[in-house]
Amino acid sequence: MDRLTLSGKAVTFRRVSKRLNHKFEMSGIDFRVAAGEFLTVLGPSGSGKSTLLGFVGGWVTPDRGTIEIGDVIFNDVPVRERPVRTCFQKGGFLFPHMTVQQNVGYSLKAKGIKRRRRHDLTKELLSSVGLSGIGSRRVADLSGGEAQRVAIARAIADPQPVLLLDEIETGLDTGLKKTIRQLLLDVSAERGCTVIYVTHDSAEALALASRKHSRVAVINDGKIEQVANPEVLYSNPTSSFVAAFTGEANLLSVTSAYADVVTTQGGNSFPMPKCEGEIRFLLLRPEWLLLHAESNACIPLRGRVSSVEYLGSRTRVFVDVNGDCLQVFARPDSQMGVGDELVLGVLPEKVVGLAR
Amino acid sequence: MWRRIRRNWLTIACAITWIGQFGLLFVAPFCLILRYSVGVRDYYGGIQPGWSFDGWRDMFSPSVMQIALRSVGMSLLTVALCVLVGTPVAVTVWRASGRMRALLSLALVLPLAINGILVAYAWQAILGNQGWINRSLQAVGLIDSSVELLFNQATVSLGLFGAYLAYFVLTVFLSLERIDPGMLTASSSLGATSSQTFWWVIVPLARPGLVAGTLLVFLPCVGEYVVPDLLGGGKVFLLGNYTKFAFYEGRNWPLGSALLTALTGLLLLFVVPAAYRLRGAFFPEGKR
Repeated sequence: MDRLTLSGKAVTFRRVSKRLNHKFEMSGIDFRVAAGEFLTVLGPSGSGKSTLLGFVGGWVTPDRGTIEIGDVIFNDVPVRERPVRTCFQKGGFLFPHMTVQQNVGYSLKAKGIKRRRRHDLTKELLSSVGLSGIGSRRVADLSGGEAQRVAIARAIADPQPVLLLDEIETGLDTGLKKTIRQLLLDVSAERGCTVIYVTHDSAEALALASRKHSRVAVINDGKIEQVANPEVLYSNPTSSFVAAFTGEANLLSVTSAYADVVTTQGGNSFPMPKCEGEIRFLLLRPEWLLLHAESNACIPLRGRVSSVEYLGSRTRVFVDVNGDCLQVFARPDSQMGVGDELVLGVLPEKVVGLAR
Repeated sequence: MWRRIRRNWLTIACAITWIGQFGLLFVAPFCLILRYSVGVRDYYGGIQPGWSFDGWRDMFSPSVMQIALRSVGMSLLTVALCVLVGTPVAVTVWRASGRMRALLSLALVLPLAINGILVAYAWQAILGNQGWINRSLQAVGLIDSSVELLFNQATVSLGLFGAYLAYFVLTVFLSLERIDPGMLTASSSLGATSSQTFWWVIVPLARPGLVAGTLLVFLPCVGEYVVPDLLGGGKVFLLGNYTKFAFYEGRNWPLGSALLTALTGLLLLFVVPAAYRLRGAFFPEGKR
């Protein structure tokens, strides 16, 4: 079929910046999404994720810098002429006065496709998102999950090389999230389009990116913090923000760094890890800390249990090491009590130094 | 029972007030008019005791029917003009931004602050024999003596249009304000041109305002008597000024009352279904 043979186009941000109001500014956005890539954009709410999509979709114009789609500058191209389709957040801006079918077939109608062919295509699309037989329903009568899937179907009805997805899993229960995630992966694989997927859920971002062997861009306060594979993002973050946002993290403030030794606020010393720039934080992921350190290669950290949280599959233990509070995961059956003394161990190569 | 009343006293008080004023200001006068319409005509004005259907018979005479038709026709024309001119105006104000939008919004509300009679006299000052247009044309030398521009159907149409346009634009504007701008982005991001977006998204979503605006122009227009009186110069009769004529100069109270009853009935015929369809359109929270 003709609509399956579509290839994605690369999207390039070149030093894009935009002042949105006196408090918020997007600046120095400079990265490239390869043709056919599934890029996940991760960031807290208000970090500029949707604005980033707006640059590509065309409803936000950058103050400076260029947006390129497939090596052509698109800064001044109006929204409707861009090779981009978008699934918007919060119910996807479905047209409330139209039926499901009319919504899905909107882009086909705009393109001038005849009613009968449109009917067949929308029917097929609805069944591909698992919603056969609801074509004549009103949008107001849809559940959140149904509306979201209709929005996806509408966005892929007349596929374009670039697909933007804005927070489409927000407000859905776990089962539906799984369905929609699979749907998206299928769609992007089948259609071969470049996908920019925005979310504020780090677990979701890491899961999706690892499934697609693709990258995650972490954005905070209008700036791109890091663009990397999920594994790199998690184990080698470039900033304390990325470290804390992508998972559980023990971040220790560094008070001094001389020669090969860094000292933390609590007074613990670690061998100097690799770090670009002046070291300010040490990152120790909880699962990198060993509870019963046997190996001599480990740095020993002597401490006392300050509190214990039972989480079901594991137990979170807070250990006070000379005033540095570290969280560690223990097996749920471990008999750990507040006040117990223990020695944590960490391999020196696991300690990550962060400059900010 | 008492506890319920105590708890809802405000609602009950409001309901009583509303029923009271509705009865006092609408039902009671309407009953009186209804009685007058089947009363016996007093040739010096007023009603004599007794019953008669002369008022209703007079109303269905060809000459009055012609006035009624003209009235409805001119109201429809006014509505059409308002839709054609008012909708683009409302959309323009809605799409404007910043200072421009504030200025334009002010321009929407300002005409409502000026009394309709004053506007009608202003038209006289512009279109009258010694008005601006005549004097300018004479000064330029295009005409020798003044041309009568006032006191014809076209002037009355223009006056009606001028009097009601602001109501229409404001109603449509308020309805446009309720449209999420995201809908427009969604539409153009799906490849729709601006005219497609206008017809497929903006118009259907602004429909409550268009319907309400149409009614808001049509209904008072049918009964309007200031504009046809002042701009028609007693030559253009519409239902409104003809009713007034029946009561005053005609001294035919039964006919005037019958006209009023019929007009009220006619308007209810439009209002009730429209109110039913529009329920909740402006307050979607109350819908269903």
